[in-house]
Amino acid sequence: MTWSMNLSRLRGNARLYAKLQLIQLRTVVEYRADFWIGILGASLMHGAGLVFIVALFGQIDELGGWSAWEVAVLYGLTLIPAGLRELFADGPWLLRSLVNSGEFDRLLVRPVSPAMQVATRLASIHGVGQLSLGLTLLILGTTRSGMDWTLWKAIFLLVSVLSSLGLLIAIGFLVNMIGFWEPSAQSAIPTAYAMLIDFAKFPLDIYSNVIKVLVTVVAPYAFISYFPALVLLDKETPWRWLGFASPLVTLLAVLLTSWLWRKALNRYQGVGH
Amino acid sequence: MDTNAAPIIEAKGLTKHFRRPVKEPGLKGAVRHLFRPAYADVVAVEGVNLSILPGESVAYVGPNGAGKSTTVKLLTGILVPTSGRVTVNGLTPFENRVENARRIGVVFGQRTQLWWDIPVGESFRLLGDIYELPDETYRASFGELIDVLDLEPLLRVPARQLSLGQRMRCDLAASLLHRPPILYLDEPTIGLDVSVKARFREFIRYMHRERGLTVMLTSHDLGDIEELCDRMVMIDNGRIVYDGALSEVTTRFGWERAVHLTLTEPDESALEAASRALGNRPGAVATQPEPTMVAVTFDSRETTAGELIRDLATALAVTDIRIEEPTAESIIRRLYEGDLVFEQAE
Ligand SMILES: Nc1ncnc2c1ncn2[C@@H]1O[C@H](COP(=O)(O)OP(=O)(O)OP(=O)(O)O)[C@@H](O)[C@H]1O
Ligand SMILES: [Mg+2]
Repeated sequence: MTWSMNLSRLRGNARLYAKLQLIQLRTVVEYRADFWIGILGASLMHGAGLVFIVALFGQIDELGGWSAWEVAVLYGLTLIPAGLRELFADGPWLLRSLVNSGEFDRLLVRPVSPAMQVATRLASIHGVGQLSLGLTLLILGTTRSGMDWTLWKAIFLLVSVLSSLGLLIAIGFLVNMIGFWEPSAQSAIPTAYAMLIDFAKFPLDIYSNVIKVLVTVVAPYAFISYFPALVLLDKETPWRWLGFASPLVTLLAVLLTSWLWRKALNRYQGVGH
Repeated sequence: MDTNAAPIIEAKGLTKHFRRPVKEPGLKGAVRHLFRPAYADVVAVEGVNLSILPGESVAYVGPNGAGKSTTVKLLTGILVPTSGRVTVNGLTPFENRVENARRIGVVFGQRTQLWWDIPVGESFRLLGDIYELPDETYRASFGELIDVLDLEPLLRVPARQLSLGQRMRCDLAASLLHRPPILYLDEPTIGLDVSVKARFREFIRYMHRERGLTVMLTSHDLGDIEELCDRMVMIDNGRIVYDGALSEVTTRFGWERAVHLTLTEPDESALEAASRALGNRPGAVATQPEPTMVAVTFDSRETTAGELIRDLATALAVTDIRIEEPTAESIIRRLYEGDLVFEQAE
């Protein structure tokens, strides 16, 4: 296959992705009440987290050596990719029900990669809430904490947000693939694993070693906020270089996920009717 | 149909075993399964050999749980076989899912492929994008299907609001939009009313005869099978037990006939008289389902209807005689019930 063919394939896929996702978004917006409840719910959920932080910093000036505005940067770096993922690739969270109901059959007889069909199966409007809140916190946090913006930091930020998005999508697939192995499981593992992302909203310095290892190795959420923030905010720590490793971590996660995904597709049993 | 053509669908020794978790009932069983999982092997399809030529229409029949849907899923690439080989359009479906999907259409009776929330017309356009159909091809194909299946009034309706029959028509169109050479249908007419069924069959027959569409259909409706298919493959317990012309089933197993006699008046002693008259005819059995009716079943290889009638007409006062020929339906029903036994298919 030539390069130009590959490129046009990619463009075709991107266009199809947008179309499929647009349908999901339109569906959500069409149920107007759901739309507003979704926005409200997201604001309340993350608002509660913010109130906690504001209250916390009313008592103390620093958290593990991080000022309130620096923590806001961590918050922003966590919420932005999470919001994007929720908006544009929430489908993996339907994977278990697709597999258990046998609806997954249909995806396997369409000439589009099943992963893409799964990813575009759901778009959650809650993502808008997370995304805008995240952007606000990031902008406020970086300016108020006196970070000096340079062009390369802007590029670094962009790359790191994209790689965070990639990581979160990979994790979405990874944890929900359990359905292929234990079809009937009403498993709590996916939700529990995903919720570990809350650790990424605070500096790693305040956690015990167990949790540090957990969010660096087992569920590498530290690579979406803490490590990139070390670079952005010019923090002097020996771990600063890990901020540049984010794309590498994403790459590893994507490779692992696609390897397992192929195994999962070949194990798929469907249902008996 | 070109009988020298290479098969378009070919399966050799196709086998699928499912792994089913074995759990004892209750929480205790679930917990035990957690620590020491046990699985049972369910044989769904065992050593199936199939060879279907381009342009053939094949009915795939068998009792519930025989392995029909599983075979279709293996042929479409949804499932990976436990062992054996499948080749469809020269490809191994589960290894080339995307390429394979471009060249097949699939209709599942119980499942729609339309997007639930959007108008049917938009589902079609989206499918056009998914199959990367050039504008012209799309318009021609879409126009024809709309026309033949009379879908125009449904295009603005979201799939969720369609009746079953309407949905089935839309699903058919959706599965043929990209003009695949093969169409698989798994119980497509389930739940359809008589007239919708008739139109459905007419459409499939048209695509088969005029377009050379290769059709593989599973159904419990013998009308579907008789009207749409030249060839019948019967599977039981995962193994193929018959593969041949549908008409041959009647000649091969159709030796059991019946003669129905209507009597001039209710007669208590008619059965006895009939049995006496039949006395030495092997394989002939009389019953009296009603006081004015006597039925005699017999083996047409042993005796003829003429001989029987001659015997009976002298012994009984008869006003009317009807000879019952076996239908494919009655034979297939008895095959399902295990009354008749196939010799192992060659
Ligand atoms: N996903 C699965 N997991 C476990 N067992 C299965 C699964 N799918 C099918 N089976 C079993 O395989 C056997 C064949 O099932 P299949 O669905 O192919 O039958 P069928 O011929 O289509 O029957 P029906 O006429 O009822 O649709 C059955 O015993 C069924 O219970
Ligand atoms: Mg079935």
